[in-house]
Amino acid sequence: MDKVIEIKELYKVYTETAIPVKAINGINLEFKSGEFTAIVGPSGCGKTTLLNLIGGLDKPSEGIILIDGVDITDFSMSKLTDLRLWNIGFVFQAYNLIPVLTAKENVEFIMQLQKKPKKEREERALELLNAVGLADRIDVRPGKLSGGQQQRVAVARALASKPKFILADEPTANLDSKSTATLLQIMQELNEKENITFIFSTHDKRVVDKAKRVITLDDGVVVSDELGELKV
Amino acid sequence: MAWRNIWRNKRRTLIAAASLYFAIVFAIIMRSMQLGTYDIMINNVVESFSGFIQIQDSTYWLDKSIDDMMEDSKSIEEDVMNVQGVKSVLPRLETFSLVSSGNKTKGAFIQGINPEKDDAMTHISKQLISGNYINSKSKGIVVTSGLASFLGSRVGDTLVMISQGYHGISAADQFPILGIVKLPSPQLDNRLIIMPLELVREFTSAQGLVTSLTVNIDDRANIERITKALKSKFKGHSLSVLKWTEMNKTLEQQIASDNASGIIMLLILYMVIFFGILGTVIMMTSERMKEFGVMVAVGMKRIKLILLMLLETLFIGLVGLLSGIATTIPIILYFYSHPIRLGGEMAKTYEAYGLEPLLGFSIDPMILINQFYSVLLLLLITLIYPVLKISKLNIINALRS
Repeated sequence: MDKVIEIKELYKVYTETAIPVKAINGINLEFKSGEFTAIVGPSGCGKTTLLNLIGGLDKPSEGIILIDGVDITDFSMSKLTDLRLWNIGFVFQAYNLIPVLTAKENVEFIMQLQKKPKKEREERALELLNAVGLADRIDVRPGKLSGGQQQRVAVARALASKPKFILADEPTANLDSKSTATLLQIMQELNEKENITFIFSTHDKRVVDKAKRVITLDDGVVVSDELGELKV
Repeated sequence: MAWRNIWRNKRRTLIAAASLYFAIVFAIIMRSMQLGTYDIMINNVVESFSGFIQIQDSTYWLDKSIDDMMEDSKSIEEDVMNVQGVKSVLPRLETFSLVSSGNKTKGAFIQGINPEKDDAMTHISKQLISGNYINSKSKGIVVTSGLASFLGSRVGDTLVMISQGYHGISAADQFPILGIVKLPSPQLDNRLIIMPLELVREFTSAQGLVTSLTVNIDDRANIERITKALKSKFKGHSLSVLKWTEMNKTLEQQIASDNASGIIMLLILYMVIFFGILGTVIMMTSERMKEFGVMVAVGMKRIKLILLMLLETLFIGLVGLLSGIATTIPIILYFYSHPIRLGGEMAKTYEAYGLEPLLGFSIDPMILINQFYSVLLLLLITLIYPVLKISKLNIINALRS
């Protein structure tokens, strides 16, 4: 499998506090295409920081992040925005859909930024919303959707741009068991059938149980990196 | 998206647009009334009396002595007429005289004119309330109603006039009143006598002379250009070219000081508009920092976010601005054709300043255009806040907020 992400000697130190905090402390990792990886660890271990750095939302203090072999650590703000738009899908803990747009428009939003033609946008949005089981809720705004439904729209939005990988920061943290199970099943199917790479940060054992690879962080350091068979 | 965003908080949007609407309505009506009233003042005093530009002997203006007249030269008239924007040239001979009827005597201002040509500019014949208007060959005079009333004279009565003629010759004669006019300016209405130019020349022994050539122009907006052209044309002659603002400094200063107070009021209104919109823009920005963070995180360029805020602010602004303009147009059109006549103490105050107690309205489109651009500018200034916030947006902090 192709290497999608390569991380070499990565450090992130927050200096805004009285005592500098090393959130990421010399991490080396690789992610290959089609992975379904969970990053776990106690609160404050650096999971979200690592995802933010991989996603180009934050800049490392030291080290290199290669996306498809290209070092993104020196990218300008504008270049990082383009990188995110064309290569990375994001799923946030709090869904973060745009409240004034319907489910379909939220999914179309990123394709609109990519200047895709209207017909193509609409077809893909319908296809994705169908894939996440929301074909009957396309014209509903986020405020009228349940948490689980909103997170499914968020997954569809993340997939809309056909990204190289999806970063999901605690995607099930605000969901009940049923919604969690549905969401995991959808993501698992997308991973298996369409070979989409998912990288999660999570505390949720149900998510960890479904992961093909589990990376455990503690104090900004990788303490274990286990590959396993997908548990069904 | 911008349109939907502004209706996320309907009440706030409506309050912001309504505050802008009322401020705009007030500003336009106030400005229209001010400029309309100035137009009436200028029309009453300048257009109906002195004209916008006069050409005089260079020594005349200082003492206004009848001895400092200029020749009524056809070549000068032709030179003036050749300047673009000049409609007509009106030769005038103006002087002062003691006027008497029975045992009443009063100082009066005598204006010798070419009645036919002059009336095309001043339309004084339309102010006739009694008798007939004069023509070039008339041997009588037209008296203003205030003066006639003071003298207790009517059409058909004769007024005795004593004055100083050209180069010390004494001027004394009697003239029948052919007509009485009522002028809107009380100052003029109490002291003006209008006579055919040739009759005044006979009276003052000033054959072939005039005190001024009054220049009638097509548009007041061209006054500077025409004055400049005339000055350059008569450079080297012993002639002065004077604008109405130089000849009637009192009126000009009255208008300037009133205009300044109007502009201060406008600035206060603009401040109210500015802070009203700024408050809304700050709220619209601050409460959506997380959303902005998400948008940038998923790949939206900051410049697009700024454009989104620009559109939202413009929508709110334009709702208030355009509805305000639409409301005021019929109001100012109505009052333009139906000016408000003041009564009571206010009217007396106006009359004391020699002005007609009338509040007019201007329909100059520049009033609306200026308001439109001023408010647009204010809206753009309020955008500095979201521009700074968005350009300094820290995605991680925004997502955490």
